[in-house]
Amino acid sequence: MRREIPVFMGSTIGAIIIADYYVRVPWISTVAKELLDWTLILSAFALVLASINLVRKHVKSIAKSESTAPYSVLLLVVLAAFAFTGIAVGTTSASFRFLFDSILEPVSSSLMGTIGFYFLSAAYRTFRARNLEATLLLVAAVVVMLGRSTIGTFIWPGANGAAEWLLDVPNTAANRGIIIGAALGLVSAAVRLLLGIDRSYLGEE
Amino acid sequence: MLVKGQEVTLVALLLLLGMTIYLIRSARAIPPIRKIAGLEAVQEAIGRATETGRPVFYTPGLGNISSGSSGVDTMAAVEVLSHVAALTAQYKLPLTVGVLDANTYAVSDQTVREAYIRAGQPDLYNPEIVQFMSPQQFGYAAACSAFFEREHPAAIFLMGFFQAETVMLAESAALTGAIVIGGMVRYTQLPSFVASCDYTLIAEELYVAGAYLSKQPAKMACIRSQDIAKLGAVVLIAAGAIMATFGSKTLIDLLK
Repeated sequence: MRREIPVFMGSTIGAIIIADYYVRVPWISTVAKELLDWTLILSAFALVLASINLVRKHVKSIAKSESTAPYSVLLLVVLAAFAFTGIAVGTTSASFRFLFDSILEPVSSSLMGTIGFYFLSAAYRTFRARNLEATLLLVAAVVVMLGRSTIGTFIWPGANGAAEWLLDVPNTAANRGIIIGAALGLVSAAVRLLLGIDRSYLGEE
Repeated sequence: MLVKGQEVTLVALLLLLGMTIYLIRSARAIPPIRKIAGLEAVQEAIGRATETGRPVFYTPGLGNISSGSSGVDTMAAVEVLSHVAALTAQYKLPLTVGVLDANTYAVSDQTVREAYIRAGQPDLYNPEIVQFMSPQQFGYAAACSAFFEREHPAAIFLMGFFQAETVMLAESAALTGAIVIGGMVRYTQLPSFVASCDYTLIAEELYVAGAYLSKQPAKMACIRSQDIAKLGAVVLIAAGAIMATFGSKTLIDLLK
């Protein structure tokens, strides 16, 4: 029963949500909307559990004086600042907005800015003519880089057209093949979950 | 009663559902599926971790299991996590699972606990195996990258739904010298995984990963029905392309 009840609940709720997508029956729509609202409530409880896990981990790091303890202190201080400010004066207040604009946004932007360097590192390791496929990849990458940059069209006037063809024909064909395969795989995976065949979250293999 | 414009997809879904149920119940022998290098490498990666005594890191991505766009990707990743966690329990390896989403944290924690019980090592489980890194995309990526630098895992699994932080995760994982096995469905960030990971599960390979690793007949029947549906899609595309070339829009109008 311990395993059958979650599977039955999941299958029933999934069937109702799917039915709401395909048919217009008032009571199904009402029940589906209610279930989706319950999802938000469950997510809020899950966030409490996750937050406890986060705080516990960093408190332990501080207690054990690990090398990352200073960063754990910083995390807990910022976490507390955001939490208390949000609860006390609201998340739309000027104070909360100030914290967001001065801490979270610059840090996120900085981390996003490092992506370019990671791309360079990945490209340096990947674009090597080790075999035929790697050589084709290298040539395609060079053509697209030339075609997408102003200086590239000065070096080779036909670069833009070649890049467009590469992106519009073989690249689009491959993407569409992946999308179709992925869509069918997604439906199959969803069917496995809804029929209760996949029960990995209940400990079955 | 039927929503206009959804009739064809409903019929297709019911056909797929019926075919899946038929294949499961018919208990016919399912032909073996082709080897997927990324999944064959799971054992190799765990073996490397066992030899070196270094930890294993797994992340099911930043998807939300209750989201329509990333839910199934994340559940597929959790399915693979169950298998990896059972292996790490069996070989007594330290495992760390980094998550971004709170719902995924709850499901991953449950999955890991059950996997350790299934492997006969309930004492090795502790609540700190699954770590809620950050609810922010780049905070999560930075936390994972910092873990890679500090702990130097021997095997890193990046499975599920990822977005802009893909290259950051994959490249920082690759630079540690670990065996990196990635798997994602969305084609927009797939090239980053292919460039940086040692093995990559592309699109539907992630969805079939759980079935491939478990080899259960019911799950293999689902893969079979998926392949039959894919064959049907190929036939429809070919027929539609030929008909459209000769000026006929019959098939296009029929499928609208």
